[in-house]
Amino acid sequence: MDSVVRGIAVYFFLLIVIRLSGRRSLAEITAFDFVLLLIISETTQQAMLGDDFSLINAFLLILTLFVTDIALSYVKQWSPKTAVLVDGTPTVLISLGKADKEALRRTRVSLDEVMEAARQQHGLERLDQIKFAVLEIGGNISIIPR
Amino acid sequence: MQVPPIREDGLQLSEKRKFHRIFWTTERVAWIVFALILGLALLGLTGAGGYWSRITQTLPTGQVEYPRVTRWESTDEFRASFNGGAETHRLSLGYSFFENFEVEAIQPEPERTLTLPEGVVMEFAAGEGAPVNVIIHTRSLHSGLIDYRVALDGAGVEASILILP
Repeated sequence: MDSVVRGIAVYFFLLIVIRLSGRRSLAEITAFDFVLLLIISETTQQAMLGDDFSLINAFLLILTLFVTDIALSYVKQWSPKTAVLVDGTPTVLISLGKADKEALRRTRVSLDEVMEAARQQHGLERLDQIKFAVLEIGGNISIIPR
Repeated sequence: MQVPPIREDGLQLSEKRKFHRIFWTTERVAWIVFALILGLALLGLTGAGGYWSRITQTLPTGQVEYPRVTRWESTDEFRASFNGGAETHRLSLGYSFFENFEVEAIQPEPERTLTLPEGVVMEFAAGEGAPVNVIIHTRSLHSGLIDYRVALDGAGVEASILILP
């Protein structure tokens, strides 16, 4: 029982903390983000396993995490409000070539990052070549050129 | 399956800007809460060290020091200091202490251990009436608020320890 409760608690704690830390936090893996990810995974592993390194405990935890994830995906399918709460919705950063300053500021996305995505996805050279820029649910920026 | 609406600018996308504004504010409140939790942790109110992590209670016969907050399955220390002047000292701990903490080691080892109705009594010998300092190394077994009675040479006090999950 202990492993299942630990697994569910850690799953939802991580879900809440990562969601509330902003979707940009873990979207782009820079060198520092990679270190952060490693530390989180190591800490999480210790919190879930405790002192019990048995195979059964590991199997139970893996099953707990998968079943919780599947259950949450069903809940999101049944309740669109939960889906919005858990995953959020895309945020339009540039609409018809006009930057939405409020969205950029509050999502902590700079125009440099938008331009980086524009260069990578479409080889665009200037900001005025962008028609739409959208911060997607996963944290990546998608660009629609003019 | 809901089809996203087409916005005025022609983009077919469900953005929910009102929800975003509420969420962005919630995010910032959460960051402040995160910082406050870290502040409490630095002060010792989440266990494992910090300015307020331990309580010291003075009795006529000595002093007891124990953690205010500890964590489930973590190790900690309970300390008792007896005043000098006696050949034998008796440390008494209520049964709820032993129900919630596993004793990993006691330094120095007690000369004798007795089980009495009010709890477990440990007797320590003091050479030439010297003061005795006892350290009990513990590992918490359950989470919750633990109340127990501790007594040094008959002078007792109620103690509480919060064990965080």
